[in-house]
Amino acid sequence: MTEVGRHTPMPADTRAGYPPAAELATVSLGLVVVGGVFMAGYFPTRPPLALPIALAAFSAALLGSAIVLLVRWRGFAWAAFWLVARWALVAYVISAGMIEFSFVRNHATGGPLLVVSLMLVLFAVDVPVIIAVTVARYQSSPPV
Amino acid sequence: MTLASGFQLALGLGNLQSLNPNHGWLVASFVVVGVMATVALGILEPANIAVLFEMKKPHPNGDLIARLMRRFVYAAGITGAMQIATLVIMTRVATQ
Repeated sequence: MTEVGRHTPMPADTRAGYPPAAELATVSLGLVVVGGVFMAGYFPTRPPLALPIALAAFSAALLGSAIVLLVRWRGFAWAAFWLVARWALVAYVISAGMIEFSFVRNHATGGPLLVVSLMLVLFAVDVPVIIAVTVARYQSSPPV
Repeated sequence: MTLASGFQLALGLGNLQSLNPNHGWLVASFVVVGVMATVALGILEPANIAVLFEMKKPHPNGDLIARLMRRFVYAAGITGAMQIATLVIMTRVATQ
């Protein structure tokens, strides 16, 4: 039986020190969505970039914090995390690519296109991280 | 992707031009889709997949599955409100 298929140990479920990585990544996703909606509302005219850049920077900081928390989480089930994350990443990279295509097709260029692209990168990483953390949180890790 | 499709359609129809009377309603629809996407991708989909992984185990943990599925109950209220907002926006856009 694989490590992923093993029965969930209760201490992992109820771990008091569970780092809020999924929660941080969810807020990061929310910020990216707010930025995307803000920019989409201005197209086809050029949107102001200060707010979207601030949102993207804050979102990236939150995602980075979530990843740091995961790396520092002892006993985290990395095998389960990567099993889920890699397939989710494939799906959301395709999804982000289609959204990017929509902006490129509508002649988004320069700064706005760069900011949208950065937000889409964050989106494409955020969702797999949220899904994979939620799954791996309840899986047992191999004994160290 | 729904947001991108709606965005593309609105641009094609000219509804996203700032002088168009539907512009505000379309931005509102983007907000609705954004909220629904965040709830779906950040809360519901991860819980769904975690439940699937738990159910694949030889001895699934019922308490854990119940705890994860509780998210759907909480999210139902938000989703319902967003669906009502969708109906209002669709009606406004169709009748302006």
